[in-house]
Amino acid sequence: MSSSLNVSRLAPSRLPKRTRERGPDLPVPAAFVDECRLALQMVGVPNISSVGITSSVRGEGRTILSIASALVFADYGVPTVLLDLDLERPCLASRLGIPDSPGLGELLDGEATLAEVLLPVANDLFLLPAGRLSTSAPRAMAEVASSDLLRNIQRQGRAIVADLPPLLGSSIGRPAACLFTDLLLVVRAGVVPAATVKEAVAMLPEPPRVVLNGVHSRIPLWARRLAGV
Amino acid sequence: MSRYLEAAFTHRLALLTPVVVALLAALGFVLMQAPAYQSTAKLWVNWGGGNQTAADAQVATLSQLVATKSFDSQVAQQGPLAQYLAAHGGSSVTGIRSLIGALTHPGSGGATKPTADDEYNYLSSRVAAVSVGPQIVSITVTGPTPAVAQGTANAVISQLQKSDIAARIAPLKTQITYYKQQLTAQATVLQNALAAVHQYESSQPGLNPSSPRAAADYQYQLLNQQASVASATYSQLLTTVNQLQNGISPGQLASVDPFSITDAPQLPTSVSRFGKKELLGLAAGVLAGLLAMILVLATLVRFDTTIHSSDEAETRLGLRLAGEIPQVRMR
Repeated sequence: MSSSLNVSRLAPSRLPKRTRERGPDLPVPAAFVDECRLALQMVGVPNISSVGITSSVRGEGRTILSIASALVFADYGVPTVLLDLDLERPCLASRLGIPDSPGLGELLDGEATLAEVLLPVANDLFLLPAGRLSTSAPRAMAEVASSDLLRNIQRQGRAIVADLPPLLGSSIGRPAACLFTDLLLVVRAGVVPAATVKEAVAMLPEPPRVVLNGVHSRIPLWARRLAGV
Repeated sequence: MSRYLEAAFTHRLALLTPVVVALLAALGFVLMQAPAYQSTAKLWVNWGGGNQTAADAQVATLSQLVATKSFDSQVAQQGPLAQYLAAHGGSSVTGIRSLIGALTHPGSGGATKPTADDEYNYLSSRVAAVSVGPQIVSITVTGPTPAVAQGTANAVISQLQKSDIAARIAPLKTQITYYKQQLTAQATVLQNALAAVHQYESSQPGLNPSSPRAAADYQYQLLNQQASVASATYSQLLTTVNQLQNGISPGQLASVDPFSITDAPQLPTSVSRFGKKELLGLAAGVLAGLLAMILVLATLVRFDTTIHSSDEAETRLGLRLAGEIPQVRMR
C-alpha cells in the first residue's frame, strides 16, 4: 500500500479535475500507513467492522491516523467508509482535496442519499464528509446516534473508520466516542501530559486501546550503545 | 536512564547554557585577577629530615613558615613587597579589579602601610615549594611585577635560611643558658669555699698551705679540698659554656648552612595568567556549570509528565497499547 493509490477507476465526475487526473492528494506517507497497519492488526483489523479514532486534545494526529487506518482497511479489500464525525471542525475532505459537501449534514437533512454522499477516494475507500450542518454539532451528533446511519453502512458490507472529535475541549467528543465499541485513542508522544490522557479516558465507558503517535528518540545511536538503552 | 538521555538530547541548548555561563563567569574571574609573574629558585638542602628526605623536610618547614604572619611580614619588609603593597593601598588587587576599584572609589588611592594581614594574605597563597629530588627544593614566588616576584623570592630564601638556622641553634642556646646558670651558681660555691679557707687561716695564726701545721690540721685540709673541687667544677662548666658559644659563632654557622642556592631567583619575563588560583577558579566554574546542568536535567525529567514510549504508555496510563507510530515526515 502506498499513498499514490490509483483512484481513476472510481473517481466520479464530480471530483475536481486535478483530483480526477492525479488521484486524491493523500497526505499520508507509505511508512506511516505501514506502521498504522501493525497497530490496527492488534485491534483486530480486518475482522472488525468499525473503529473510531479519537484523542484527548486536538493536534495529536487523529485525522492522519484515520486516513491511514481507512487505507489499511481498503488494502485488505474491505470496502471502507472514512467518516468525518468531527462535526465542529471537520477537515478530512480538505485534507484529501475533496469538496466538503454534500456530506453528513445533507444526509441528515434528507437532501442527499447515502450513495450520493459517499465520495470514492481510492480503491474500496469512500469518504463521507461532514457536509454543511443545518443544526448545531451536538444536535447533529444526537441525530447520528439515533439514526441507523452506521448500521446501514455496515449492512452494505462496508467497514467504517470514523475521525472523531477529541474527548476534551469538544462538546461532542464523548457522545461520538460512545458510538463505537472499538476505539483507538491517539496519544501524541512527548506532547500531551499523562494526566490529560487519564482525564479523557475517564470519560469513556470502556478503556480504549492506545496508539502512541510521533514516537521519536533524539538519542543518537552512539549514546544508545554507550548507555545500553 | 533513557528518559534522562532523551531529555538531555532534546534540550541540549537549555542544558549547555548553564555550563557555558559558568565557564564564562570563571574566565571573567581569571581575567579579573591581577597579572602575575613567577620567579623560581632551586635550593640544595644539606640537612636530612629524619624519615623524610632532606627536600621534603625543607618543603614542610617552608610551608609552615609561610603560614605564619611573622615570617610573611619579615619577608615583605626585607623584600620589595611591603613597598609595593603600600603603593597600592595595602591591597593585593591590581588589573581590572583595581581599575574598577579606582573608578568606584576615586579617593581611596595613595600609599598606606600594609598591615601584617595584608602581607600574610598576599604571601600565603603565592609562595609554593615542591621537592624535585631527594635534596632539591623548588620555590616559586608569584608577584604582581617581575621585580617584586624576584625580590620576594630572594627575601623568602633569606628568611628561610635565618629561620632554619635559628631553629637549629635554639637547643644550643637553651643549653648555654642552662650552663651559664650553673656557672653562676658554681662561682658562688667557689667563692664561699675560698672565703671559708681564708677565714680559717685568719683564725689560726701562722697557718698557711706551706706551713708544717697544715698537713696535720684535718679541718684545714677539708676546707682546701672543698675549695679545689669547687674550682675544678667551675673550670669544667666554663669550658662547656665556651664550647657551646663557639658552636653558634658566625664562623661555625657558615659551615652548617641548611641549604645552598643552586638556581637563584630569576627576573620573570612573561605573565603567568593561569596560576593555581585561576585554574581552581576555572575548575570550580566548570563544576558549577555541570551541577546546574544536572539540576536542570533533573527538573526537566521531573516535570515532564508526557508519554514518550510504549512502556510508559502502559505503566503510566494503565491502558493497553495497540501500537506506536514513529515520527514520520509529512508531505
